[in-house]
Amino acid sequence: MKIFVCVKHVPDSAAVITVKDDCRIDNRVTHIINPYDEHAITGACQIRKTCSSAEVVALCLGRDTALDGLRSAMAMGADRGILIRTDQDHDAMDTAAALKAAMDRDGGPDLVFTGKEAIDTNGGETLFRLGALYRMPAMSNVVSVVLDRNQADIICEEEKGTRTEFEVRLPCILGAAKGLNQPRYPTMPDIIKSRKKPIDILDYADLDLDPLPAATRVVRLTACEEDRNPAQLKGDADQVADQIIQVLKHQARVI
Amino acid sequence: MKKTGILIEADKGIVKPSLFGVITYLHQLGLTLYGLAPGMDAGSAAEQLAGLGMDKIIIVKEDEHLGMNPQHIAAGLAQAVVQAGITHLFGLSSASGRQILARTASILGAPLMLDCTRVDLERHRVETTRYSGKTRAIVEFSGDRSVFGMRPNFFKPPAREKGPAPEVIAFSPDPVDTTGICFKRTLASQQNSVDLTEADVILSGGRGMKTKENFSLLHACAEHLNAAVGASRVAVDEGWVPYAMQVGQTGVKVNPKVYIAWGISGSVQHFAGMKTAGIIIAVNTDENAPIMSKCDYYAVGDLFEIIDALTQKLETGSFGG
Repeated sequence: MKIFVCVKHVPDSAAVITVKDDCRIDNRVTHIINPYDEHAITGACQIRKTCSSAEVVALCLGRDTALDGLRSAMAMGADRGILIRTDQDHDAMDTAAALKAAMDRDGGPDLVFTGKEAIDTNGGETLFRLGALYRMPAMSNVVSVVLDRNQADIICEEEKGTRTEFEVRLPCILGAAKGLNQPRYPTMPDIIKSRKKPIDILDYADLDLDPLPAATRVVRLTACEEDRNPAQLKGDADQVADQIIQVLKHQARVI
Repeated sequence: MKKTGILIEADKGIVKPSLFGVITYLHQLGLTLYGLAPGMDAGSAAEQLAGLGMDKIIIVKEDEHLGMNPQHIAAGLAQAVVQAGITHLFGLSSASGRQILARTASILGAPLMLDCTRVDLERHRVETTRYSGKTRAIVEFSGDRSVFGMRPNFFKPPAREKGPAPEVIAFSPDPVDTTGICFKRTLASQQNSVDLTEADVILSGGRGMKTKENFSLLHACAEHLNAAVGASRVAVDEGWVPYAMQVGQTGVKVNPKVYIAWGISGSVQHFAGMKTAGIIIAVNTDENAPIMSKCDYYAVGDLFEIIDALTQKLETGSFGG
């Protein structure tokens, strides 16, 4: 059984984002594996335990620096990595096509994990694009997976915290949410071991993808300014509560 | 004229209030507007959507056994879009809207832009955000069809006037094989009755809440405000509340009119999830917490005393004008 985990190398959530050329960010900030993808890797490795012949392959479309992300994925348990090397940003449609092409070259997936969304673009759409391209079931916000022969019994967490159970036929695409597991952070021996694991590097251009009839492109980026002037609500608890009610009632008009 | 569709999301048959502002915004752009209402009752849809300037409502019929299958809903929606000749499909960037729009866009092979605050169909551009709200972005799109998720609570709802109800037609999609996904059951919801992404008021608790049990104080207060309860990462990591309630970069992004942060220090990651709130009120014992200098109102004090006082006043209605 071959389990692919699609990971994205994204700017650290604590990084200060600066805009360059009005349409892209300064990429020299610290990058990390997208936090949800850590849950995806952990989920894939947990399934490997129950399945003797399973292999976990971490797959990433990114710049050369994304090799660090793949190394972390392997330190967390992936058996090997594939980097589709590019020097550009790709939208979700493009990304899904590239990920599919790379997986197909590698024999195709029996199961695909991704994070439910990436923290830079916040789209959560790539997994559905993969589902459509492969005509495989795709489910997001997955918080529980149990494999049962050729199907996965899963639980998805939806708005307001509602949980829904589905049976999904394999192969399928699953988007990991935080509740799926607690990622185990790599120890020093894990990191050393991961250095010996192989990474294949493909060039995006070598995938020979057909141009897509639709695309999205960021044409302008501007940093958001913080412009609030804090005012103190003074007094005892009772007085503070009164002032909060005044704001709710007269300024926000919600009561 | 461009034919545009808008996905009518309803919760237990009630159209989501955030949609009214979006419909009005699109109407003002001078677009022909078709409402696409999966599985809704025709009479109820016409009544709830009257007077908003919509041209038609298409009730997308669902197979009653498959109505809970998300792929079935998206497949029906995609067929309705093609059948009606819709070139631009809009919806809400709500928790559920994002998924259904992403599925539909994937079936149509159409670009998807989420969290939009402005659209310019002439120039094929939208305004949205990138890097978790740290930057505003103008995104250009191409293709024969496009799909847009509009930011909930951003577009001002109209003053409703009695207007004509739009014509309602029914559309029965061809059956599509969605047997790869089989809905089993919904497990009882443990918390909010109001969706965080659509709430007007959010009461959010952080480290200062101290225990799981204390969150019931926020829920009790929230009931009087029709508010949703959120949490910081610390509170979910401690296991005090479920992950679904986390507001922040690795949680839900929210746009309420009022966000009250109880005992939350206000990390960069937390701000990424709530910085678009209309008014931010912070209550904390530590006057040097980062949130105190990035909010609209702050109070230094014991949050439990203040919640108690607030709940009591809301309960008894003992707050004058």
